[in-house]
Amino acid sequence: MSHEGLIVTLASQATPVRPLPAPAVRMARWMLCAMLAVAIGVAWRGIRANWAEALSDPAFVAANVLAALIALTAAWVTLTLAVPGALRSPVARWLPIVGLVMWGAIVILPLVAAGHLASSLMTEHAVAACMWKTYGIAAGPAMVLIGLAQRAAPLEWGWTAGLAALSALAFGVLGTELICPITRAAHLFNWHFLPVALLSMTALGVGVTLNRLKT
Amino acid sequence: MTQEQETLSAQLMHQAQAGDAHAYAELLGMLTSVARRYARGKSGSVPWVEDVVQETLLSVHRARHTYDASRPFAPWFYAIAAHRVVDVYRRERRVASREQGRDELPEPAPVHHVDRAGDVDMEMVRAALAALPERQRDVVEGLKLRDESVKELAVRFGMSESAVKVTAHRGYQALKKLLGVKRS
Repeated sequence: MSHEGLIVTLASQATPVRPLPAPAVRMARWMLCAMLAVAIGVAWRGIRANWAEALSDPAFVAANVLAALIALTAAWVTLTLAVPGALRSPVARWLPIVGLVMWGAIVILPLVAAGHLASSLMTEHAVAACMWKTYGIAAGPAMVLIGLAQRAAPLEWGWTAGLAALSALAFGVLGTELICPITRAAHLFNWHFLPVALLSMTALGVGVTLNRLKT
Repeated sequence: MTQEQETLSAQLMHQAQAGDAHAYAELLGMLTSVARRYARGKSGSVPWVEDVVQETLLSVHRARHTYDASRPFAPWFYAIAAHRVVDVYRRERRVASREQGRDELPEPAPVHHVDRAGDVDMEMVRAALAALPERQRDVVEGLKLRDESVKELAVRFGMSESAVKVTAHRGYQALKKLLGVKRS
């Protein structure tokens, strides 16, 4: 088709469009949904018995504040990245990933300091229930976030999918942290941190690959 | 994109978002040359520049609801164009990697002298064609081997189109007899 023919065809489809809501509005909608998912998850499984004790632990607070920041920045970058040219800084997309690495470091630090990192991680009991709780809480918010991104016009599907997954999973793990009473660092690393890191990085990799195959 | 184009584009896109087809056509017309210049600037005079232009126009169409009139138009447009350049480049590179140059092709297999019907020897066909009267042979070869039209042959041989068709028909009948093909 010639350019002129294409322009005529596209112009004939120039129906009024509903402009995309402001990023803050979309972000607020998503946060509402994510907080609802966390509330439902915690209400269903019950809040941990030692929550007051956990809140007085600076490492617990630091790790969860970081997880919340990861969730928020990843969601913000996902929604901004879905609008062409809106994400000005190329560094911004790396912020949630830097946060993820820092979160992993905070969780693992006590084991490194004690000098038995490998043995602790290898001998830690498998408590896959925590992973499923995180995934269960994250499923709804992840779908909503991807839907919101899709409603825009994402040009980089890999990053959009990866960061959407990271954001939803970080919210999911916040819910799990409110449910799970286990405080062992090895458990927190193996069954809280790793499921989030691995699944979101897989989503990023799959997204990038699919995007390349599509083109 | 000049400052003038930037202002005009933002204005036209705002009108296009409201459903103004004329403004939209004007905008797309202007973006065609901008996208072409951009693609050439990024990749030189490659043959797929026009593909980039069309892909960019299609993406602009699909993403037009995401343009925020309070923001500059150029970053929005160039983000789309940049991704389309990369996409088309990747696609072309993939296609090129699967294609082989003529020199790289293996030696052709020996020619089988059997046509698609599976039971006619091409040497026999050539011999049968040679046995036809000269005019019939010229017409059959023109129509079947050189893909010429009845009209072209009529002009060349100074015949009417009906006469060419009749000659061709007689030629086919004679070929059938010579080749021993029976009516099914």
